[in-house]
Amino acid sequence: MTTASGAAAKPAKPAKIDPATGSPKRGFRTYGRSGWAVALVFAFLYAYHLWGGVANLLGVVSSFSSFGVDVTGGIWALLIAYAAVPLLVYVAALLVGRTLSTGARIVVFAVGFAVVSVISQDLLTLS
Amino acid sequence: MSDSRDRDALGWAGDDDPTLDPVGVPGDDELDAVDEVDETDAPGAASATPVTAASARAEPAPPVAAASAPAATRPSRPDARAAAVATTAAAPRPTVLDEAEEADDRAAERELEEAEAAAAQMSSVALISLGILGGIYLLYTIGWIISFARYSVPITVDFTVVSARIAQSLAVAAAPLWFVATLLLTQKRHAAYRFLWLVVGVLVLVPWPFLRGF
Repeated sequence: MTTASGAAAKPAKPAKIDPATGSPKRGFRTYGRSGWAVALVFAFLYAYHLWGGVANLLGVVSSFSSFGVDVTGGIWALLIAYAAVPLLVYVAALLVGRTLSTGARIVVFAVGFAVVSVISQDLLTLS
Repeated sequence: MSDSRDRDALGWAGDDDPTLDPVGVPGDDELDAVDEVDETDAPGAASATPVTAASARAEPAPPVAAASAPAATRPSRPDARAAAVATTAAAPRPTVLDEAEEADDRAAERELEEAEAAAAQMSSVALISLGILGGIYLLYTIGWIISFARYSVPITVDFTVVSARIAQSLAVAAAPLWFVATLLLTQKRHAAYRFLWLVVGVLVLVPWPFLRGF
């Protein structure tokens, strides 16, 4: 965690004031170049989970059809949730990281990466 | 908790630190030193010293006071100043090292006060709640480890099996990661944030595979 960026964008409790416009900073404008670089690197890592989920969805649907069994609503929900979990957690981590420094965003993305596995295991248990 | 000056105690990189500047004004130090020199160097004129020193300080021209006192034991004002400079260069003037030590002492005292204030802010209720939450996270971790151990590895290990093991390992790591990251990232924020995120983690990280017997 670099001291410069850490001190600059630490806890923006009252939203940071944009010196150019004088209005509070909102949205993702707090993400600088380094922030988006971190987001991009973790996008590839999360894509690993996403790929597994989509592969699982396609594999299960094809095997169901090969046995001539209809995919029920509950199974559909589980399959789609399993595939969508990485996306949802990634977006959540992106939102949480808005008020944090770049180093803290790395921590949030890493925790989210583990949480994706937790939720995936939970969904596998339900099936 | 140590600042950079502690680590770089033997370096000269911190010389522009404002806390390393001399504490007193040099002029005052010299005047005080002159008074001390007068008292110590002229024991015979000790009783006369306060008066003469006061008169010398009041009047810029010293010969009147010097004439009233014995000339041998009472050096004139400029000589005294020179002698004071000569002696203070040896002993009583605080060196840079002394000032650095004093600055370190002040920094340590300030750090201690801040630490005591920070420690006092956490009530016993918050402390116990944190302990309970930490215990829950510990139990969750154990539950995920047991779930990891129950998995029977097939004889033919292909990519699917490796991928599943990776996912299970990450699930084991999730609870401690969440706990540590929450404490780390909510340090500067209100305690409510810390407990909110810890409770969210308790809800998200429930080890369902362990509870359902997998």
